[in-house]
Amino acid sequence: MSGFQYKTITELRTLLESGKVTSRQLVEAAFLRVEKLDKDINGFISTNKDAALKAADEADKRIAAGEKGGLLGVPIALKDLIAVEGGATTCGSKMLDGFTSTYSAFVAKQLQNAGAVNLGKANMDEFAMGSSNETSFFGNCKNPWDLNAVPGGSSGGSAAVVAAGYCPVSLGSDTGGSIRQPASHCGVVGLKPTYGRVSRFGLIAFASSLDQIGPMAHTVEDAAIMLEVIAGYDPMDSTSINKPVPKYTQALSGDVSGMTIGLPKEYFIDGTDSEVENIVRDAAAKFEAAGAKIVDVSLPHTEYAVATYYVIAPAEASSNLSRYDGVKYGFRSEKSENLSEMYFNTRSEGFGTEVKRRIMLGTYALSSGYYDAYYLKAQKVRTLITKDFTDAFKQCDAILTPTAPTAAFNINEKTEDPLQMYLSDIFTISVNLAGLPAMSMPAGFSGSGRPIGIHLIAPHWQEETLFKVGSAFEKLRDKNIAEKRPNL
Amino acid sequence: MSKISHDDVKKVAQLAHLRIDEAELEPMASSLTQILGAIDKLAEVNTDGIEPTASSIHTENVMREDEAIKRFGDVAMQNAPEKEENYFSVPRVVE
Repeated sequence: MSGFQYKTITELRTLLESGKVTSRQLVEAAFLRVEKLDKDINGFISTNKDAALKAADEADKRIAAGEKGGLLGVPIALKDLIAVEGGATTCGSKMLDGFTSTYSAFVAKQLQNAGAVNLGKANMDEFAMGSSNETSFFGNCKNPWDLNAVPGGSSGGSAAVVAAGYCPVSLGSDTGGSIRQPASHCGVVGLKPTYGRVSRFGLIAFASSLDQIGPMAHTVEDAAIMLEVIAGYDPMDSTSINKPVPKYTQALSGDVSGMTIGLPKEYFIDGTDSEVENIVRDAAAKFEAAGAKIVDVSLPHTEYAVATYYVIAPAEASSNLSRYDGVKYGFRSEKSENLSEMYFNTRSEGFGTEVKRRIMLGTYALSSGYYDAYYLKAQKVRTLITKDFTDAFKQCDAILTPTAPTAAFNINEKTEDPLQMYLSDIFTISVNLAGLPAMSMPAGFSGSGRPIGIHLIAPHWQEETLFKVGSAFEKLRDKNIAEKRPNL
Repeated sequence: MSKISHDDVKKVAQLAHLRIDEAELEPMASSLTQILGAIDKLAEVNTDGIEPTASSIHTENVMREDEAIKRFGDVAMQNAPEKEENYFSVPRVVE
């Protein structure tokens, strides 16, 4: 059976419930597509067809027994830094090549209980450090819309597997934009929840005060379905916040009348492609025609966001990655005379260049004599960036910006210049520093056919606002945007 | 403007337990200098009287009773590069 590749979760659930298709058939169809396309796209680092079929059979039993539920029997994918017990988890790194997870992440357990079927582990920048999926030890992931283009990063694989039609939904992680930017580049919806909304237990850590797991899907509704399954308090994550999970799927009214949407002037700058800016302003005009008020707001510390992030994130990473020493798990260098040499050799051989660069940066920023000038200073600027948003949200319900300054760039275009690569995160990064929920959604294409997304930001805990405005945009934008498919 | 020297790279690498070869010293020094140059911009911001943010959302430590809740067991050894019984084997620690 075939023809399922771009169906939404709801469409697949309807087919499954009516008995027109089984989960096993969906999974077999998905693997046929993966086997045909993934040698070129490289969206998956690993797949486990046997485990997936077994899970599909379990789901089929539950469906036959009359059970219904948002993700029961639906194929999904997980970014390869989310642990699944007994399965490979590599973080896109040589350091964990061959490592088998000893427990499952909270989100993986939630998905298993919900009867979702994991097809495999999605490609990513090494240890989530990158914006183009070009630092993976397992090779570049390509953008399904144009194989010469990057899919974005670090959740490049999670975006690509949805864009390529392997499965309707996946999970990525977002520390500085790593769900939203690849979502924009691959023409899918990508949502980063409020910090603390989704448990980080079993998410291999990059920067602990910034990391969040979130859904990537074709529609806002599908993102809401996934978020309902994965959100919630988890005592195993001490940063998980004990707040009830709203029924996000009931926040899709698509009615923005009476809402106020802010456009921050600092986000409309030289260096943003005019194609991108036009798409965002066009979206604002559509919201206005639908009854929303559009206002200018200001986020005065925006120009310091990238600098702030590139102190805090590498500093936290240098601490989180100190555990990779070859002793208890992971790669161990072979040629060491003593323990100290083993540490140095293992870390030098096991980590790629970008990871080493960020560990060096973080170590420097935290070292004696520099801590105050860098780390402490950045933490204070972080307070000011957060306050900018608090102030702006007194004047509007949601903020609209571009997701990225350009559509996807070409593979190898920015690899020589780390700073250029970092600057491409400029619109997404403040959101992580402030812990806010935000979503990118498909809004158009560049002249060369590469997707361009718009970016919506809401106050803390207001994911429902994102779903409301997002579902409105799906009704207001040109129909052809949702109907276009990559040429695969 | 912070200019990172080869010596700085070696010192930081030592702290981070990374070995940076001679050939990599200059590229690493150069890219760190460039990035830190961009970061130096933070000095422009007036942060007098501003509290640092360690985490955007929560403000209290989460505590639990000091009770063992789960035994890890054999699975803890399953990824050991080298082991003897329930011990992780490593190269000689002391000279």
